[in-house]
Amino acid sequence: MSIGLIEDLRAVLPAESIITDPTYLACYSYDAKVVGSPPLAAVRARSEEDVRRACSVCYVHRAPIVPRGASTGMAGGAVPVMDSVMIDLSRMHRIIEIDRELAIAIVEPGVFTGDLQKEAEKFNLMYAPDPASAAISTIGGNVATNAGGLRAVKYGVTGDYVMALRLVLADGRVLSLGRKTKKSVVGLNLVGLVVGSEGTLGIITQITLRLIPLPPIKRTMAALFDDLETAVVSVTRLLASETLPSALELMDAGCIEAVRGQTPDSVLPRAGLHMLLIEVDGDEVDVNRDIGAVTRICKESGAAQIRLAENKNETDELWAARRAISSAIYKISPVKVAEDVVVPINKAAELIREISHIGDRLAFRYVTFGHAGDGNFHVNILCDTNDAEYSEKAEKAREDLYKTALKLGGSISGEHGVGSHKLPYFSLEIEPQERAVMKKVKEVFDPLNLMNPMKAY
Amino acid sequence: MTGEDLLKIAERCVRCGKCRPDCPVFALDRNEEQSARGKLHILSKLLSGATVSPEVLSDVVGSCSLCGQCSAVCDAAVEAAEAVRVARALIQSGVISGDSATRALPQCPYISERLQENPALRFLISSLANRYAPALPQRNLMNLLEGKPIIVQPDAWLFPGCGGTWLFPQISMKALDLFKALSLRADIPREPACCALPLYDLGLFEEAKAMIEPLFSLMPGAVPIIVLCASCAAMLKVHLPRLFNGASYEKEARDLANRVTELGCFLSDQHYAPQARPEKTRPITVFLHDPCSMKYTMKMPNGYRKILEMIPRIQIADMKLTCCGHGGGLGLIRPEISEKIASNVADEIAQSNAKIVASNCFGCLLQLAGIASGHANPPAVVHTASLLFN
Repeated sequence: MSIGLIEDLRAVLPAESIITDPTYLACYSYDAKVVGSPPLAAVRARSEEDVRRACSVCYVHRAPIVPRGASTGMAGGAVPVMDSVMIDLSRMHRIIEIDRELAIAIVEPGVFTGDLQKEAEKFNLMYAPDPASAAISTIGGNVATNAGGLRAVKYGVTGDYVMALRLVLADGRVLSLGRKTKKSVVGLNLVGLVVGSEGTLGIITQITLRLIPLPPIKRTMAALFDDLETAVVSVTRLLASETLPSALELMDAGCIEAVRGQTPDSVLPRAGLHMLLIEVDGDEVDVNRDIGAVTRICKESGAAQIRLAENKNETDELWAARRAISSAIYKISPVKVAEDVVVPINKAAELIREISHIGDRLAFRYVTFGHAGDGNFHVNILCDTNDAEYSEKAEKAREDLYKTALKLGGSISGEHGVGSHKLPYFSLEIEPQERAVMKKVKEVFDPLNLMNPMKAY
Repeated sequence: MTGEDLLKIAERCVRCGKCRPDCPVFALDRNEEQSARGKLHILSKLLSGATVSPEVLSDVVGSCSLCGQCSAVCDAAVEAAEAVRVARALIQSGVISGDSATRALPQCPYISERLQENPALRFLISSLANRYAPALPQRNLMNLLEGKPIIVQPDAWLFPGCGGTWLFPQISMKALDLFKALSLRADIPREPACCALPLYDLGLFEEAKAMIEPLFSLMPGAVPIIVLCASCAAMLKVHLPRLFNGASYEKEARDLANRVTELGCFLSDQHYAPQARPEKTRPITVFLHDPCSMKYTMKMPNGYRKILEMIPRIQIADMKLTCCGHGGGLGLIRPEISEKIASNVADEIAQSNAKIVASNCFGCLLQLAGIASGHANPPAVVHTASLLFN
């Protein structure tokens, strides 16, 4: 990196958008999982032109670039691992257009996903992907990590809704990828390549997203189980039936204890029970049919109790409890390692059994929650202190967990991404040849390896 | 409270970022250091010995209205506003010292002296900060109460606060009439008294204690203390036990806090029903403001809402933005930020076309009145209780 980088940034960007004070920069050294080193400087971009200018300067100086949305990630994807220039996209938060006729939204990357969901609803449309962090994460980060979420079981993940995007490359060139059409088969699908690339190919500055009609009715049910494995078995049975819930989430008894106190006791089961939260949507006929089917299947599978949320308040409280788990766990454990392995849905019960074996073998406490309908489980390894013994044990548990998921035909990450946190375990899942192809692809987009280096693959 | 205590609060933050979208200060420019997560990270660095520039320290401790919206959504129950208040106190008491600290809260020594000198200034100074300084009425509450014999052993005390004493004494008098109609023998202490929230929010904890001490003997008896202003109520009910924790008057502080109730909550608890009057006029839309002190500090629903819903001609419009930018001394420390938040609230008021804006916090009331005064057809800004009087 050559001298004069900051001066050159200052020459092409507004002074207030360039941050060099070490204390301010300290705020760019973390996400929700990893605390790392601060960047050398940060650029608070207001437009694609700002991003383009910043990248051009960094390219000349061979300075690594780390893009950042809301930094709510769980894998260190937006945390620098070397001297870098951070490009903060928080200020690019315009919903440029919602086109009712085409049912699309054109947005800047810094839009909070929840804000887009609310805006789409005003047009009687739905932005379907619904990460648990929707209220606090941004669309740019969702696209960069191909975020999943609560509705993925029926509606799919972020990538299924990205139609087009604009991408600033490390050298400042801008690519406009994709079409606003339902179909386009001309050339390689570069949009698909950028989705989930964790900022390693370029910086996303505009996204065109597909919206779908808003389902008129949604109902939420809570199925309670004495035994976790039975809960997961009923998920497999549900998905093998003709019913497809719009959300099918698991909260084990430990998670329920974590949110108890902030969620009214009236909506939570008694201690020791595990809970499946099931949402069905559609018109009245669909919803009534699905409620009946879910009740029957859960009962046949051995549910201790099945409750239908009676009003909006109860429904909101249940889902708020589900969304709160990730950070509420800190109330029952000051230290946690949060994982997000995924397995084919018919292997989910086996995964749950294996996790319990790993827990017994290594003698650690853990809780499990997440997207049971996707076979995607957030296994959180808990501990009271962050000492060396715990770290060693947690690492061993992580490795065992990953190997188990892979043995069952799954993946080490369903939605958090690899970032820097999972990079040491990348080769457990991806063969050297496949990794080499990924590296070659990156080289085409970013020959100097400046975009978010040492992340993802 | 020590640096270590503050570090403990800061280190509980899990950096999930849930505090960001609802923060009125972060919303302005989306600067991470102005979010609760960013502030707590910087405070941990500072307390672990990192050097912090005056600009940064001012952003961390200054640019916060202490509204508490961040804590309301925090799953890890981190009280970021409390951390900022304690950081201010550590600066004021010299625990956090140096050039940065001196310049982070530049006006405080001056303010502290002025506030102690003349209680009427407590409100005037804070209102000057939002450039809306109503003229003091010719007769303050103490003048209006002259010659009126004090009730011995009343059923309840009305605590008017500085707003109800110096600026809007008529509201206090009308509240007394309301109690009379309810056959409640309530009275107002004959000494002006301040809850000391402005000092407390600025981190002047010792000065705040000194200002509060007379309160412990001012309203004797095990009877309710009904407070006209939501922020005074939050100070006396929630902050007081914390401020005196482990200090002299600890028990008195706790006892007093237990007796405190905000007027709207009190009336609602008493199932107060406004008198039915012939409805001669057209319905009127009231833009009802829930002060942060009510919603986030005391975590209480606005008691007036239920009562106003019983008045047929009143249609309630809820304000989406809660924080008006006045709280936490923001108007004094970082007036430009306070003004930007106010301008967002002004837009919301303008779009609502409401003829009346009502708040049950005197501080918010001044800020909202300042905001409304810039409108072409300014709505009337009133204390919510006054809607029950007319």
